[in-house]
Amino acid sequence: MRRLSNSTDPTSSFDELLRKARGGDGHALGEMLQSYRKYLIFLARSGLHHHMQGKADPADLVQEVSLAASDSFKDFRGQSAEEFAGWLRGILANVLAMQVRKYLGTQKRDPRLEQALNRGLNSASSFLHSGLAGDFTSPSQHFARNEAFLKMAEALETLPQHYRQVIVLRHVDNLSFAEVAEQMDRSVDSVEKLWVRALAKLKQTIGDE
Amino acid sequence: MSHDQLDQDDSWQDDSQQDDRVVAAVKQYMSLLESGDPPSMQNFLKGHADIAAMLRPSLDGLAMIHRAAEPKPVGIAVAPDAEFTSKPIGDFQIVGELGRGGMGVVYEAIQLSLGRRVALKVLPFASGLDEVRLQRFRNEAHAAAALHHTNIVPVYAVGSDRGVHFYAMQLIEGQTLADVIHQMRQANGKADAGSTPIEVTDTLAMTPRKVAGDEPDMMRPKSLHSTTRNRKLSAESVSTVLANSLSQRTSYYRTAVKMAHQAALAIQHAHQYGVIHRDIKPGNLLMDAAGQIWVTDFGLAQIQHADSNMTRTGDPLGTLKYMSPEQAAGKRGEMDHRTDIYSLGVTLYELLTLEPAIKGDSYRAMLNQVAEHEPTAPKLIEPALPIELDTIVRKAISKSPPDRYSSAQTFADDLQSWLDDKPIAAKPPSALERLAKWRRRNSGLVAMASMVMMAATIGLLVTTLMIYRALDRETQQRELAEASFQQAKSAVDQFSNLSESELAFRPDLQNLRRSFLEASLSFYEDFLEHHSEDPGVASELAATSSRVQKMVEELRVLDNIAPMEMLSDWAIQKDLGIDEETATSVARTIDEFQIQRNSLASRYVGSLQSDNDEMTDLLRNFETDISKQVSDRQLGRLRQIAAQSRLPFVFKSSEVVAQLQLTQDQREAINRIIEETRPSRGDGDRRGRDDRRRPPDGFEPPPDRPGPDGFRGGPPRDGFGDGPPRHGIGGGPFPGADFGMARSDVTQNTVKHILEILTPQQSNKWQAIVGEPFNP
Repeated sequence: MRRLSNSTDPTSSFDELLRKARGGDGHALGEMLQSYRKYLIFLARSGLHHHMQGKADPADLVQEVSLAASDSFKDFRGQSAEEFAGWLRGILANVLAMQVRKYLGTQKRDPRLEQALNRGLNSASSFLHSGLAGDFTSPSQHFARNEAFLKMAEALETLPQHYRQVIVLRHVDNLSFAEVAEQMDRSVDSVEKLWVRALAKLKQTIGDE
Repeated sequence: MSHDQLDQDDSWQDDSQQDDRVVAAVKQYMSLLESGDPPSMQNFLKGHADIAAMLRPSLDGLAMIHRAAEPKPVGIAVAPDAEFTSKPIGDFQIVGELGRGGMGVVYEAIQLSLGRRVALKVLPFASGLDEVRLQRFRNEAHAAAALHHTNIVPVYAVGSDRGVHFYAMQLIEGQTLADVIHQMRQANGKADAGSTPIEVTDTLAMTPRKVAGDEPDMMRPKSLHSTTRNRKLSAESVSTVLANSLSQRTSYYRTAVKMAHQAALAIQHAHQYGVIHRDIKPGNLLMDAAGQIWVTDFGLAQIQHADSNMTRTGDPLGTLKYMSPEQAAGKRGEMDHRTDIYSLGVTLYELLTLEPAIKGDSYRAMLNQVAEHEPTAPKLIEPALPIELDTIVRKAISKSPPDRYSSAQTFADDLQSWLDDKPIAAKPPSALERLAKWRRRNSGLVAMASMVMMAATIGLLVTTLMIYRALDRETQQRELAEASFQQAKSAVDQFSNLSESELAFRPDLQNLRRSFLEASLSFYEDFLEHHSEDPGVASELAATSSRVQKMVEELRVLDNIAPMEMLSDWAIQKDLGIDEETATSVARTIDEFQIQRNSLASRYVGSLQSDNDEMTDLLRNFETDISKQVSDRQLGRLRQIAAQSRLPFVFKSSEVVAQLQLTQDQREAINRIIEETRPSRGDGDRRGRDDRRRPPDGFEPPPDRPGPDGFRGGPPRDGFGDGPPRHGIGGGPFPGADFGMARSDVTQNTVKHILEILTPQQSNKWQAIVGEPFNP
């Protein structure tokens, strides 16, 4: 898979791809969507939260998002990578909602689930964006960071499952360690240690690229 | 992949002692990051030199997540500014940097077409505003650019280039009021820099001074998004020791008031043109070299609050400090120009007291402060503060917009009146008005509102107490501490008296009353602990404390027997499976008890003190009698039904709070849910009933008896409301078993929302508390 980090100038590459895609280059559009895959998978996974995991595969949902995005690409009016991400997020929200309805069709309706779903998606995306936009200091960094959230999502997706889980529960869902411990069915002590290791691993994943 | 396999990958997992220290250090760093003011990672690592190597990767990872620490250009490549600043942005060539902050970077720039110097603010559209929002921002910015006023920073241009949105303004040479406050705090020993003598620049004197040479601390830590070039006013100008001279203090107050006055006029001007600032704070008020105040950043709040992502970035706590309650609550629809009046009031508060009105060490804590807690009265912090200014500030920062000044003009007028030594329009609320206000707040669903009020009042007490404690530690401030203590004590006295005078006669509010008393009890105990060395005070405190203690205990007994009175209801008897014989005997016991209680109560007419043991004995005997007649299982079920009858307020009762171990956050969330989901006040039927229930002015009992609405075949009530106020506890029948209300859709909806915030364990416990729904 293409690593975003390998491109020396992500902004211009995005601009370039966007220009080509607008010109009807399906290949360019495919490449754009591909680079957002991990980001969307991370969001889909967090959006599905704990309730529906196992019922739907985030990767399948993201496939649906990509299909929908290429079908309606002409509706995308934005210019930046951020705007593109936002647009994809909107599509993902619809796909998730549809999935939930389908899932609920076989069970009794549970509004809590729907709420949890939206909450999960919102907090996951605001986590990725605000976490990285928070230290926004200069426009040039802004350019570079246009796609930094993709990298964070990608790094998180690369982490072993329980590392990712502890970070998501603690920092995305904002649970206390006691609650994280409960969710993961481990002791608080072991969860805290796991968390420290997960952080180091995250740094390693991003930093080693 | 199993956990164990992975865990073994990590090199340092076997050294568990070091592990623990690393974990502790990372957690510590996290709380520092969350506090918003973290040390640099280098410094932090120095403090943990021996485990630094293990610590660093985790801290880096944490910093990546938080991004509040020093930006580490790891992986996320960061190019130098030069690439960006070398080319002009639109018509503007950047020549230098003025400041950075949550709202972007401010550059000094040259407007090429006109050759003039400007302040260029580059906006952080990092999270991709959508087109609609961007358009809204442009509209606002253009409206702001059309404002012309001597106290508003003129906007020259709004535009975008190379994907960057910017905003060009007149360059003001001076500093922000945030800087002024910061310097004043330091000069007055309020900041951590304790070594400097308590001399203060009379920075606020209207005479401008130029800086003689570069000052070392040009690095200003916060409030950096000014459009100013930082020209510190000289420390060599009139130095005063603020702490000593009353006339110097007064002169400072006058200067501060003049600043607020100018800002108020600017805001009034903008309001007339329909522009609301929404982000008035010291950092957005500039003082130029001539001492003139300039309001900046009109229209920019749009982008800051338009997106929840954005509100969290930058300096969220700093921004919350000045946000009006309606704004903090995200009630865009309810926000009008009075949000600016609040924010300016809070700014003036801080200028006068050099203390922020809203404090809190986390986003959530601060949010609750803004929404629910009255800040400490300015005069409590600054005893020398003229009472008129205290009144003006408190009016401006009222939680509820109708209580504030109706316009920035009237606010400005009052400030001017004070400057001219004329009487001000604002009046401090008298005791009666406070009561009226309390009542007003109690409209709607009475009980709910008063609980919210209780939370607010307790918050005020806690703040007062905290100040008192802080002062207590400083022996040189002994006198002030004493005054503060008296104030805190009288607040608590009033609090418990209010509870006894108002709530003792409200059968539906016994729970609230108990919470009140329990709260004041803890304060008395606290006072006792701190004042045990003063025999006079201690014995008085001890007496009060034991009296309150007794009331609380009696209320506990009362709470316990309250459900028992429900046993005379046939529907409940049926649910519990009580046979006819037992039912008859139980009914007799209840009848006798109620007759005795009434006769006892009427013997103590007017007595507000629970100082007779007869009543206590009566209650205890009743409890024992009933317990003998029904089984434990039946009693358990009875309590479940009683809990159901008190929905949704039962969530606020001390037993449920204790049993579910509700956290402070959860309790506040429950308050909010109850408040938000309550029926609208337009509900004429309910309102009528409430009006009937509410006692008229004064402390007279309600004119008619409050019927147990919707409860079929309810037990006979005692004579509540038939006579004058009686014994403090004798008047309380069981807390309104109002099943009509408890079962209503509205209540069920409220309960549903509350259940959502409980943890699974709490939900289980809750199930045990209420059991199966009671269906008579």
